[in-house]
Amino acid sequence: MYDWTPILLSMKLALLTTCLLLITGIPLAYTLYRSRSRFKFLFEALISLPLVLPPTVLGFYLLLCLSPESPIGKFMSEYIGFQFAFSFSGLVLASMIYSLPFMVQALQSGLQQLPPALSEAAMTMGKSPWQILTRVLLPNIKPALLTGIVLTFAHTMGEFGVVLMIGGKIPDETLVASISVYDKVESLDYGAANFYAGILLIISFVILSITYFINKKL
Amino acid sequence: MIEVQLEKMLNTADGRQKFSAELKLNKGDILAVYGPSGIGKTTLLRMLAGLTNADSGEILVYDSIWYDHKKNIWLSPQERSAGMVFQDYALFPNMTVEGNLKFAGESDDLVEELLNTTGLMQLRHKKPWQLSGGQQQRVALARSLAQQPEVLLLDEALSALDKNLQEEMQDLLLRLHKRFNMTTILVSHNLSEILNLANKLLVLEKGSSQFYENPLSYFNKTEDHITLKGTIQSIGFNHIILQSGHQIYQIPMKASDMQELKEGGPAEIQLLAFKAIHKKSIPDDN
Repeated sequence: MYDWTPILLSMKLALLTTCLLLITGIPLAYTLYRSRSRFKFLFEALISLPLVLPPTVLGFYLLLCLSPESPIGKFMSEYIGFQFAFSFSGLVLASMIYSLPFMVQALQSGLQQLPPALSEAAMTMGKSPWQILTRVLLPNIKPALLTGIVLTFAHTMGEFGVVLMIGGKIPDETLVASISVYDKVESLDYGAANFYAGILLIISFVILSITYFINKKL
Repeated sequence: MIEVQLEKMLNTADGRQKFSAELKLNKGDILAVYGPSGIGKTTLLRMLAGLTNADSGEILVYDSIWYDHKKNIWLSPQERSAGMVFQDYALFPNMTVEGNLKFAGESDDLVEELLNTTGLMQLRHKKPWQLSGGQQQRVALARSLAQQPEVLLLDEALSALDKNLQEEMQDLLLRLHKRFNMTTILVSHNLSEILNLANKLLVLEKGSSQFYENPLSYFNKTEDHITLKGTIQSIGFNHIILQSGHQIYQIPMKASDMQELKEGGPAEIQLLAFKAIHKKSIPDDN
């Protein structure tokens, strides 16, 4: 019998990351959508960085930033009591940054595909930006919301480089399924590696199938 | 009193072009904005609604200043009392007909009344995509009225409809305009629509505008008017059908001008608002 903990940890990480990214990604995408700033492209480039950066590079800098020796890490551990490096909360933060473009880009492109007149009509009705977002825009970009949620979840389930750099492989804390596959192969336990790899494959396929199925109906 | 004076540099297909408009309206007026495409008709409406910035000028609506370049005042669209019917209607796809109206206005009684007057009672639970063009148009109009605006802005809202529906909507618009005692500004390139609805006219030209207290005084200036002699086939509420020789003409006409006409009787009609668009085709009222 194989140990299910890494799978459950992966799912917990993916679920938490997705929820937090939904909360932060919606205002971020909405701000970018509304922004007429000349420097918008810089923010867009910054958010998209994780798409092209090797995960190890991202993990390396996060490790530097968040280690107890760095000013940020020191502040966090001394005043808030959070230890990010080699901890589950560190993994959540790293995953959020790593999956940020998947959530924000999906939402931003969903918003941009809506006719601008929808927002404008609501503005002439005296509606606040918050009312426009919640009552007019979000209900009309359900497929984009679903895409953002699913891509973020699936991407976090499968992340490897960042997790390895920032989390190590502490059982029950940072040893997620994707790391387990690597770990088991290294110790030549192909049966266990196959178990974790197979489950990741099935989960990813099922999630994507459900998404495409629902998106057809939305 | 509504006083508007606006200037803006526009980026058009023909390069940068100066836009300038000046107008004065009383409460209850219906102003038609007329001019070639790309001259800034829609931009004028958008500046009035606060959706597009102006370079300079002022907008005074009754006692409140919506825009004053010199005093650095610019009210957001939310702070202005302007209802706008967009060219493509901009109905909220996630809401029903009733939902669209209720989102715009707080008064449930008014929503009920508007659903009734615009003939949308049966369709109140339908979503916008389930409606025809004419029905969507009525929803858009009813929705803009539900917010009880001081100024109603219509951006070629009737142009996409077929002729019968256009007349129906013109009639509805006139009734609602009177009922809610608003001031309406409508962009139109349709002469019959302008003559049927508007009592004031703003003609936009390159870099300037001309304001007319009576729309006819502009169209009458055209010297190339024609006279049609024939028999009246039928009389509608805002047009007549005239047979002249083998040709049938539909001629837009105000009810007050029709009083002496009789169906089947002879008539000599002078077309003052005639604008030749295409040499080969039969004159249309477009």
